[in-house]
Amino acid sequence: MFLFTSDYAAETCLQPGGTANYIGRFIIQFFHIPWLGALIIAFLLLLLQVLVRKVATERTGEFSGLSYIPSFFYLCLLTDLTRFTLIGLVSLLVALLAVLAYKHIYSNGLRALWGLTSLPVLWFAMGGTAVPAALLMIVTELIHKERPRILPVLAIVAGCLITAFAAPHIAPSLSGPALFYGANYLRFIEQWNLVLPILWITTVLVVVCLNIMPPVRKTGYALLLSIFVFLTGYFSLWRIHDPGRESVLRCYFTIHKGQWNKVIARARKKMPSDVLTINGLNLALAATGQAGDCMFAFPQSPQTLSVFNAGEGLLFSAETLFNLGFINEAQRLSHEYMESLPDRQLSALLIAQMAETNLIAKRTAVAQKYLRLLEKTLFYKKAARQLMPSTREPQLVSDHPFYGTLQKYQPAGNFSSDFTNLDNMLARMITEHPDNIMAVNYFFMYLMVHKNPEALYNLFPPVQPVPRHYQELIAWVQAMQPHVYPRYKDVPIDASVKTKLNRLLAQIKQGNDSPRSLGPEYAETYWFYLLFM
Amino acid sequence: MRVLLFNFLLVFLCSCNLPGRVSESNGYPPVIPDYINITIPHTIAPLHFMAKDGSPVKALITGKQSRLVSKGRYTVKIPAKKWKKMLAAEDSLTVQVYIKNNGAWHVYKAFSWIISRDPLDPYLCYRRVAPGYESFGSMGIYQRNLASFRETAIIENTLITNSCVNCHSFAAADPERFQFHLRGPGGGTLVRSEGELTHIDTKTPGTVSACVYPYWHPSGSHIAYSVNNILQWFHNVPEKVIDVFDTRSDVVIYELKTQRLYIDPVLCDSTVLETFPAFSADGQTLFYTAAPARKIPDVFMLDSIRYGLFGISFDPITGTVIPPAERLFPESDTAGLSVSFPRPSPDGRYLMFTSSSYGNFTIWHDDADLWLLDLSTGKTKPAEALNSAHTESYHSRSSSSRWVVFSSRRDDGRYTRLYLAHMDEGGTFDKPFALPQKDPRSDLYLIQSYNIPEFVKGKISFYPRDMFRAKHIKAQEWKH
Repeated sequence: MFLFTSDYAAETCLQPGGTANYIGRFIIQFFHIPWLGALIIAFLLLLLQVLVRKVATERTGEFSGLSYIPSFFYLCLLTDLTRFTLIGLVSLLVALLAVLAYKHIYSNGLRALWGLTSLPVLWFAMGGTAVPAALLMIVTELIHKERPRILPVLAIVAGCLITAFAAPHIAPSLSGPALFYGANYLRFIEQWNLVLPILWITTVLVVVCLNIMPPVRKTGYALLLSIFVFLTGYFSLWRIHDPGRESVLRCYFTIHKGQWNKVIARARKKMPSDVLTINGLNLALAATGQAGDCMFAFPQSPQTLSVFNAGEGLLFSAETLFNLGFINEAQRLSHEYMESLPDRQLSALLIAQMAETNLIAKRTAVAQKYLRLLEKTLFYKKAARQLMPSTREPQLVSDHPFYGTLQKYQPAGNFSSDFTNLDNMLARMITEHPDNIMAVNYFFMYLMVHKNPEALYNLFPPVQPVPRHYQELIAWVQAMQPHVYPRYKDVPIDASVKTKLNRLLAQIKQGNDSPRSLGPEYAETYWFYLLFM
Repeated sequence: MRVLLFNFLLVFLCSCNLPGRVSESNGYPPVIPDYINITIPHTIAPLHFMAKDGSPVKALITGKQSRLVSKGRYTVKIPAKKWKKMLAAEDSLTVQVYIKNNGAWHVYKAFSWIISRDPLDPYLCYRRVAPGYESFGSMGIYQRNLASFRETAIIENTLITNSCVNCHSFAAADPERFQFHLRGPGGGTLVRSEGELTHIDTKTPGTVSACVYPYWHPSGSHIAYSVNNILQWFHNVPEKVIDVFDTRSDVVIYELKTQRLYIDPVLCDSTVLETFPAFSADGQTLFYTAAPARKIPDVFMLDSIRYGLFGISFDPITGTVIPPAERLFPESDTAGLSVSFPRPSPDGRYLMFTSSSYGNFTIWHDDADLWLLDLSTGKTKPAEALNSAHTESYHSRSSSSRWVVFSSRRDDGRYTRLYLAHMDEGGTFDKPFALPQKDPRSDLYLIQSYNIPEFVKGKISFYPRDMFRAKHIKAQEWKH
């Protein structure tokens, strides 16, 4: 969460790598608009290529494509935003700018002075990219043989030594990787990661290669080299890129916006295979009242209706619990997720959720605190200002069509929110608030996936029109376990359901009882789930 | 004549920065933090404040011999040097506040700052952490120079992945003798004493956990700890969020010289939950709280756990306790109160504790208040001037016994802030005031709580990297 406050600027910048963090976080906030995020990444990567080429050589008309290698490398890293951040890229760009400035200083003494002073400053402002900057300055010095190079090289070495000796005193509470990298190039700042040093060395090698290789003009050789570089980049991206992760996050943001039909339409278009997307889909099915008719058209299991206690599952579960009316619990999981962010940053999205949950729970003073923070952000400012009056006039929350409804669903009886007993929580909720349709639907789904006909009958006695999957369950029970569940005996079932079940039972009798043979006709039925899941 | 002229000039120059046309408003100015009519130490940092609604604000601060006009447009900022001189020269200050609303300046009823000469320790040590549930992000133990706004980290959890630092504690506020726990990979208790840093594994076969809540013997020879099996209870009603409680707990005493952990049957009774040990100022008594141990099947049982306050004789020579334990404040049961955090004043006269309707993890209890026990008379009373409608929890006394710092959630009900208050010889507290910050808005934006505030007599010199060179020790269990 980037705040437009002087305190935030000072607090962020006045620590090793702080300026890189500040610039990086300023840029990252624009990722709120996905196409803008993509545009920014493309721009920064192109800038990296331009700077690498400029640092390497003054020659124009290069077509070897070698200067694109660091950009491809970084693009591969950025496909895993759970580990790598944009801050490392920003920092590398600034380091290259420092090297470029060094290169263009023609006075021997001034260059030495720049080498001596810029490296400690660069480390403090940008973090560990001072290392490739130092190497590139030395490379630049060695390449330009016409220059006397002893003094500048000595100054660069002295700059490095000053940085190394001063760093532990400047930041006594940091050590190891956190001290070396300074800025949040990685989300796990306390862990060494060799990938970044490899990237830096690659950048230095590219600069060296571009210098020692003969000029590459528009020749077949240049074309081949360019194709090789681009193919390698493309293949690396293809290997590393995880589209599944993207679809999970897309699903999350769609349910966060309450675009239930969009979630369902997307799932119908492409069958989800991961547990989190199906978890989000189930919430959409509960919200739209479609669960009873089509939930088993998608792969289900008890996990797809459970509360997750780690990773991105926390986000999904917070959203689910919030919509079901479990406000304290939703707040808890949002908070847990934010606290478990490895780079220990605040998230505007989660702060906004905590503001909402506190407003609903009538904890207006703390909601006001969160909204006050959000007022200092770029993309949440407007929403925060709209909600702020609610902290002074709680009636505005009660009258709000969405928050007011959730507030009404707040439990009266105190009990422990134990996520391993979600059925208990749901049972209490629908007992106190039978009008909480979403919770009612969700509980129905829960009992269906947990194959509990007895509880289903007790809590959801079949009322016409009986949803399709419920009819399938009743038909199954009537055919297979009439003595175990006698109360289902006289419930009327569609003839088509009965016929389909009879066909299924006949097939099983004939030995066609494998998922493969039954799948084409029955994969979207409750019977298939009963038999094979 | 010259002096008169100089004073006239001074007043004129000072007044230049004040609004010209003002209209008078009744009542005290709406400012945050609430610094209206308080008693402050003569060595405290400038008390910067702002209008509640963020409007432009000015203040004229007047003493018998000096006066100054605040700096800043939206916050009242006081130049440090002038402030220091004023505090040294004056006994009290009058503060006149001007707030601009709807384009017009309003002047409010003046209030006073009484300057006390009772000594305040120069440093305050506390932890900053998000008030959360199970996970924790950024946290650290910090020291704050109380005469300025300078805060420095003693240790932050940036050193080791998934680590947590907590329970810092000092022997009689000595910056050279302290301890804190490091939880997580390679965790243990870090103890600095006699110039040596040791990393102690305090879990022994006979204890229910590694050592948890500490209290140093005033001589620095022993540290009393509780050992606790701690569980959390998550409420689903809007009025409550979380409860933290012990399923088992005992009190043990660690002797630094012999590295032995003393286990006494009186303090380690499996039918009793003993916790929050604290040595008396003379080191001859060990205070602690205790409640009958029971299984907690539901939330209603949780509500019925009430801790009483106990004291037992302690022999610093042998490092053992001498039964029987005496019940102090026995009326807590009938009053429906549960006691936690007993902390004697260094002069030995009073014992302050936190009291709530049940349990011992009071930070999540809105009804938690501070109480005072006069050890000379045995009389107990709530420290009414310090309490609010929200939680008051951890507290600590200055070495002079005249100042108390405590954590309170009065600002927003969730984020703990630190308040200081003066106490006179008769045990009467003045109105508490929030720990001054350079920018009074910083606490409004801070998404962390301050906890375990402890006064310290000087600056703590500790480099986190020293931890990696600390001597590793395994505590040895010892039964009398």
